[in-house]
Amino acid sequence: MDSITKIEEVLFIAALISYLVCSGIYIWYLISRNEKFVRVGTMLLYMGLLAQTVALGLRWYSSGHAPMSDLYESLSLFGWGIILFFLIAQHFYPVKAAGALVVPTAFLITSIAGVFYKGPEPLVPALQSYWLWIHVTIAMLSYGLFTLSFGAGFFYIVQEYLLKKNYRNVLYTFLILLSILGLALGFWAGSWWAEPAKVMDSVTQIVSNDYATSDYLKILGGGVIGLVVGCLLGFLAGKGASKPGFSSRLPSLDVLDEVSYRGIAFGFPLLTIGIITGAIWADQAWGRWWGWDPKETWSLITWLFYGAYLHTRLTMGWRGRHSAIIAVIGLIVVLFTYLGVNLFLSGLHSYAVPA
Amino acid sequence: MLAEKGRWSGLASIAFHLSFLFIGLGAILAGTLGFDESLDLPDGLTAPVPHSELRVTSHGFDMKTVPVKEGDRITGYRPSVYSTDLELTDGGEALARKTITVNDPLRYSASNWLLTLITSSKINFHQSSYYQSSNGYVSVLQVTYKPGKSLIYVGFGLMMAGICALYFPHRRIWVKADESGTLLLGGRTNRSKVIFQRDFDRIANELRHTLGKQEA
Repeated sequence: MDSITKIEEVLFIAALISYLVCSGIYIWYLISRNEKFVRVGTMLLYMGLLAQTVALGLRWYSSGHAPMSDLYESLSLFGWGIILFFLIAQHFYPVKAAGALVVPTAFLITSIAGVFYKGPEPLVPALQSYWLWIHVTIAMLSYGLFTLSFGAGFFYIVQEYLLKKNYRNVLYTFLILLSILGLALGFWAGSWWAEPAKVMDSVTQIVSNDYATSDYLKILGGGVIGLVVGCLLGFLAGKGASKPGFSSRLPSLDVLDEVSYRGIAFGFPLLTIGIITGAIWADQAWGRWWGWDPKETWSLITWLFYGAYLHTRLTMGWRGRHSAIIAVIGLIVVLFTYLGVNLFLSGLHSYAVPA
Repeated sequence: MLAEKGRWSGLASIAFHLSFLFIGLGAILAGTLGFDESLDLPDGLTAPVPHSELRVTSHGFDMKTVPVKEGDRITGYRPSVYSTDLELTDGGEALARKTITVNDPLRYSASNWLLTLITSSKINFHQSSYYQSSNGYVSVLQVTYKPGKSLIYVGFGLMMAGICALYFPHRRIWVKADESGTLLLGGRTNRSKVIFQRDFDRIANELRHTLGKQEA
């Protein structure tokens, strides 16, 4: 068992390194359009995906359940899914340029998974059900599609400013987005750094966090560091993109608008089915469909948010920039539902192990 | 001349929004006529089932644990599986018996399956949690009764069917020929206007192409 865990670790790190190298190659591709070099990157990406697939398979074998129970397994699976979808998309469509955004995102998510690494453990009683993989897979697919929609929406906004030759706003777009993302990731990393005391309710067995003042300071500190790093990266990326030639490297406005809409058009039904399967599972486990657990509440907020997107688009005829802005903000809501709830609020979805 | 596709697409939106009504009604029924109570059942004892004449007996609480590790050091134990061997009786007559675990409740209904399906008149015994008292383990059950459950499931079904059907838009194309032999094309859709526009242009172009050939 121990040697299996070792092999899993080595393969996971190998996959991480390949994603890091590929991030560089794909970003370089966006700048240089060097077709030969990116082919090496694609091959390396396939190898990384294979390594992570085997790592996840070994995890499944050694823990005895699908790799979806703790944060390491869940995030690793999310990163794996993004790479898988990207490679499939790249096989059929000319979307290599999008790799400059997608591959680094997958690398970031997978490396955060590594931060939360924990040895394989059996499932807590509440999660021992075949609904686990159905519910989680569907929810993950919807998150993945919302991420795609976000990416297309963001580039829509950038492309529109580029076409209008409004380079200052291109810089601002990158600056605002990356600083918000940096702030969010910083808070998140800070809350992991804080390690608050765990308190378990003896009756419901729900684990909640008990924050001390020093914990709050650490979370705040993480947020500030994230904000500064995000600002810097945003400035660099914005400066790099604020060039007349950059517009031709991005897909056209129509394509970006359509892809952003398609992502939500397919993600929304999946989120709906994810919530319904969750309700059916909750009824089986606890005899209730809905209990206003923080994750349930936030998934409802996400659902209403994307429902509003579809209504503004289909009945009010919103298009282009307005829709793109909603799609971009949507990812922040999704990120809070997926990660924020687990770390800042307590509940049955917190992936915390009762002590 | 009219050609159309997905005539019932307008119903999808109605079905989807109607599902809210079903789910809401089901939830109101379950909330007003049903109940959801917590029941503490010590090992080997019998307790009355809330809101009924029935009684429920625990024939034993069972738990398996796994060690919690910090590195290689075992810091404690946590439950991996726990279950209660439960028997439901009515005035001494045994009605049902089952070993329940967290995701596997005991469901009991007095009437036949069809009536149960319509009225959802099942009493459910869920293994909720447990605690330790001076006399040993006490199993905590969640006893629920939910009329209106079938309405909620109809609502779930409508919602899923409606949302899938939303992606088959109602598309209509009219063709009209006038005296001089000019073809007039008109189209209308209720969703995915960009894609429709593209398809419409393609059809118009193909028509122009083939007609052009025939004339020549």
